[in-house]
Amino acid sequence: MIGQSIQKWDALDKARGAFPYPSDLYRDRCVHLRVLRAGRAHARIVSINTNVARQASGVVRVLTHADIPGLNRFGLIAPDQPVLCHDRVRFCGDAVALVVAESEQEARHACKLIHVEYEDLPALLDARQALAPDAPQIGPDGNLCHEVDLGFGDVDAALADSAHVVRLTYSTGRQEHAFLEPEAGIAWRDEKQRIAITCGGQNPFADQKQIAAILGVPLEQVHVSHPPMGGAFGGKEDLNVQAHLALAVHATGRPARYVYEREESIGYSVKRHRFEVDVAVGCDATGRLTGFRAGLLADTGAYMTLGPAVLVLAAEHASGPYRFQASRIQGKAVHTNTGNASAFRGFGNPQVILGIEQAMDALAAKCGQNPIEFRVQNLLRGGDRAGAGHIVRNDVTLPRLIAAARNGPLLRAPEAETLRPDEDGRLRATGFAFVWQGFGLGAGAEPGSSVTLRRDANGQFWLDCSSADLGEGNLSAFQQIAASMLGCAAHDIGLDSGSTDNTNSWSTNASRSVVVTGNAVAKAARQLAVRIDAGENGALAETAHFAPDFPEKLTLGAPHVGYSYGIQAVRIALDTATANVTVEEVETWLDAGTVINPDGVTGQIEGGLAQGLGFALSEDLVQHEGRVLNNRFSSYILPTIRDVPVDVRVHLINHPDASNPLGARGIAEVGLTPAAPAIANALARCLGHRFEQFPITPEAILPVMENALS
Amino acid sequence: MITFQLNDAPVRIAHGGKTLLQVLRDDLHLSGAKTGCGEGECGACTVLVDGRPVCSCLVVTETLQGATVTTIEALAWTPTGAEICSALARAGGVQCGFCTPGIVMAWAGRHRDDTPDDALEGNLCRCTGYVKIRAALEQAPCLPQHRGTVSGKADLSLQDGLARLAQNPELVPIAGGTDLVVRAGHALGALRLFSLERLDAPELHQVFWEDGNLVIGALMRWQDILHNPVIARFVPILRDVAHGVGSPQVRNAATIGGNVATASPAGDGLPALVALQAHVRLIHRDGCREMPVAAFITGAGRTQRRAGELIAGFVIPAKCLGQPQLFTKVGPRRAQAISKLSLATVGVPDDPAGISFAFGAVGPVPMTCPKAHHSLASGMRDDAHLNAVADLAMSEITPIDDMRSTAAYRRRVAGNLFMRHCRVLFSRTARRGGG
Ligand SMILES: Cc1cc2nc3c(=O)[nH]c(=O)nc-3n(C[C@H](O)[C@H](O)[C@H](O)COP(=O)(O)OP(=O)(O)OC[C@H]3O[C@@H](n4cnc5c(N)ncnc54)[C@H](O)[C@@H]3O)c2cc1C
Ligand code: FES
Ligand code: FES
Repeated sequence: MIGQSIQKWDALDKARGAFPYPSDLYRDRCVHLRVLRAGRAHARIVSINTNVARQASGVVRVLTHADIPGLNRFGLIAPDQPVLCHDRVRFCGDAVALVVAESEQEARHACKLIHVEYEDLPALLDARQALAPDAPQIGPDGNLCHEVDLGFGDVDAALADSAHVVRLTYSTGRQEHAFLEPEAGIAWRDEKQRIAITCGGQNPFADQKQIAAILGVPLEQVHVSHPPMGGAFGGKEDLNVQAHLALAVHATGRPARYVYEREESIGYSVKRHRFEVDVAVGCDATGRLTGFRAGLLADTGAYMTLGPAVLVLAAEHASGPYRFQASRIQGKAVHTNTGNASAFRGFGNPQVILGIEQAMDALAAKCGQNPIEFRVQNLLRGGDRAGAGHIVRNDVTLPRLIAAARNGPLLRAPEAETLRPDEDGRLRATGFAFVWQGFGLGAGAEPGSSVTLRRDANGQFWLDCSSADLGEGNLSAFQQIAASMLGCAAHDIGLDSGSTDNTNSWSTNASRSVVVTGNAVAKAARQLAVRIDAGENGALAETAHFAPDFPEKLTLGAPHVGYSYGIQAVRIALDTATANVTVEEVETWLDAGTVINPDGVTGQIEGGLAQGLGFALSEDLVQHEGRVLNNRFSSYILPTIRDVPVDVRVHLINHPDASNPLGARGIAEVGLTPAAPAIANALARCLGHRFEQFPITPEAILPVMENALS
Repeated sequence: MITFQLNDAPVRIAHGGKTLLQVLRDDLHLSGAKTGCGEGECGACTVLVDGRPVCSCLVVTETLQGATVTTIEALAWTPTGAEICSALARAGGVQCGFCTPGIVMAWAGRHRDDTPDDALEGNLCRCTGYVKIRAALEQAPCLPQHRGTVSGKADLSLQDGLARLAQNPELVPIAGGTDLVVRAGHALGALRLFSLERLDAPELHQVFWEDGNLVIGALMRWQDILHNPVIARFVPILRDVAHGVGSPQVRNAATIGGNVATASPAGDGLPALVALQAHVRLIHRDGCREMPVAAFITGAGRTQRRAGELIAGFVIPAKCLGQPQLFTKVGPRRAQAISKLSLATVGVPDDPAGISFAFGAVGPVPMTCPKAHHSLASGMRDDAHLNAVADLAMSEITPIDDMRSTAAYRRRVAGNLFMRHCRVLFSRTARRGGG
């Protein structure tokens, strides 16, 4: 049962169009919402006049900051983002007023009738200027949102003594999650007189807490439910439609519906943090790594969101799964007026892996060594100190993967660099990257998960947990885990999940569902099985909690309790007329620990890969004075089916992880992270050049390529 | 009132400038077709209209009179639909599943020769990376093909239609709607639309011969052009253009006439028709006229079309038919891409340069680069001379920086493509001449 691919409980209904998504929900007498956004990067609000809008046809209410009964701020780490701005707007997407109307059309129309007088303030649009003394101040305490300084030993000396040092400077893109279902939900006053919100989200309890504060009511008066939704990838952790829905219901007493338009979703929702990275990596003449230094600058935008946590994870992972004699990793997350950045699959690791994995190739070349060998001799082993300074407790299982990868066609015999195009006018090259990705929330941030397993009076099993299923199939995995302990079929486990009325299994993020909540499910199921075996009759319920044990804490959020490991190799073709890069083949070797549902695991890797290709080659916001120009699917370039190679192979080479009884590893992010450095390494092989900006566009490649070919 | 068949039952709706997707979801509470973008890019809203997959977010109710619409709610319970759904579910092809109903529809209504990569160009999936979707569909069936080009929607003679357009200058003709609906956005309801499907004029939907020239009806959809054997044989460049237009869903609605009438600098049909030295045929209640496509397009989004006038078709001169032809489109991705630039090149035996060419998306109109063309007429074909000609062409085009690309990139790649096309075409014509 565990270890078998099963069809997910909701797959067939979803395919048939019969599954209700948050954006499909309506209620009778629903009002519709539109939010007036600032549309400017930084300004003081002089006045907001809603008189005309209030009189417009179909308008029920127009709400501003003055109508917020409780706290006009929210945020997952600290409440610093206004629900409706009062005196200042800090990015184009800041919400200024909320129109509640009988139809979307009328709400949209009324938005245009609201008159807001602004006094524009100088905008800070470049993170590198954020800490300059004369920079406009954006955050309540200035522009420094968070800072980390990790490492050990004397890195200056280690680098100075190195035979070879590679220095890289680069920046990464503001990637958009682009879940196919935009932010969406409905809210109403339920039969218990609570404000009930059903929407896409990743943690109903975190939402509930923020909403209750905004409404100024006790937690019990807010109910939040996250049914399976059309994707999230980290982009639905922060509040999106929830607060505005709650306010509308509170103000009108009527049910409310709010679905973002795509322009709103791309233009104003949170993004992957853009990073500016500097790394210096050294080795001695034999190829043994010496010192690692990284400077990370993360643009977290106007508000804190999860910025500090992203920065910490990035710092923890920046030096890769390699052993150094000394290391120093300094990072800052700063406020700007460029938008609002938060969680996105990979959570800082895709930004930093580009430094270490490109440097490993470059150093290997300087030493005249094979890049695989070079990495192998420098791998961490269980008990070693990682670059951030923590001890990696359990085995680094990459050697098992390397053995398999060497048998694959892409890494069997690394070919020599070549500048000769094939007959079709394309240069071809392979590249690869190693990856580690911590799972679960890091030290001090991981509260663990509780779940309840029930057997009702009819003998039906029920899994009761608050986890949201974003599409990855965590609920199906939980069914499988419970079923294998209870000796029934996965589909015999009924689901009662996703809301604040359920047992608190906390967030769906950080590759934590199977590792943390899954172990709680296993524990509850075992407890229930014991009682059943003892012959207990009638209805039974068992609640269990699982939280990983953290032997040390570097800083809030680091280190992680364990890592998943992978190797990803790509073959690319570079068109010498257009500089377009086509990825023709991808092979991934992954240690997923104990696998619950193999198709579920490979599906995460494949999906992550496609997002990684976008991050590497095409996905970034194009902004002008803080406004997003490419806020549609016709201009924000996601990979289509033709952009993901037909030849994608994923190999699972599993080694149970010692951090948890199931032996599972979280794998939801690790497929995305290595794609960009693998491609960058392939490009370096055919052009002898390292690019300073990601995504690497044909516009950037063309001059380099023409230079190399001439 | 507009009447159409929806899932085998008649539906009547009031006029109202709505999209089919809005009618399905808001009025009829059929939520199987999803809203992912509202502009034809994601395919989550795919339904079958007259058996073909289209984006319901781009279908305006006015064009539905007499149509047959099938949505996932009905298709899923047909043997074909059930098999596709189950194949996707079994193989792990459904993650969040928001894209899945659209994928089922696109696959069920695909052209019989289409692979998953052909059929699903217009279905974005953000979760799966497409790998398991491909694997699942390879074995799954599609619906029997019915590919009639003229449907039973015509209720007006061409003369009556033209009279109506002439009398009501505020009427906006609509063909596939794929440009018009996207451009109108939320203002769609304010337009008075006149569906060209209402015209009983089969010649507007066909390819036919006329005095040795080939005429391509303005209402031919790109998907028909892609699969038309006469076009493949005599004007393969239009097949190649069609191949790159949007996705199957877009091509199943979008017409070549609409492409030219829109006159977008990035319109892919424009440079090809200009390189083919095609003429546009315009019809009006009061008469008919023709002019070169190159003269018809006067600027970005501007043409010589007069109020009440329709494009009837494009006349491709006999001398270009069956000649070597090449079209290259450079976009930001491999499907569903708005051109950063394009180049159409056609062998023309009586042309002093031997070829005719036009660049797309590097100027307000298709750029024919007269100086470069003239310089080619010298007859020299060596790389050094071609390089010089390419440099001339690069100086004649007027590309811009925008959010899709840069002027420098467009200019440079234009030169590269020009060299590539010349090498291929001149070696082909040389082979022909020699043989
Ligand atoms: C997702 C998507 C992808 C696309 N990809 C491409 C692409 O790759 N390449 C490309 O070139 N285009 C592309 N387009 C644009 C569009 O599909 C094409 O331009 C298409 O050919 C337009 O045809 P239509 O029949 O849909 O035009 P419509 O939208 O019906 O009409 C467009 C305009 O032309 C007028 N018109 C239409 N027919 C006539 C006629 N016979 N006589 C007079 N006026 C007429 C209309 O009044 C309107 O102003 C894409 C569009 C979308 C939505
Ligand atoms: S909703 Fe995206 S194509 Fe129609
Ligand atoms: S399964 Fe989520 S978009 Fe395709």
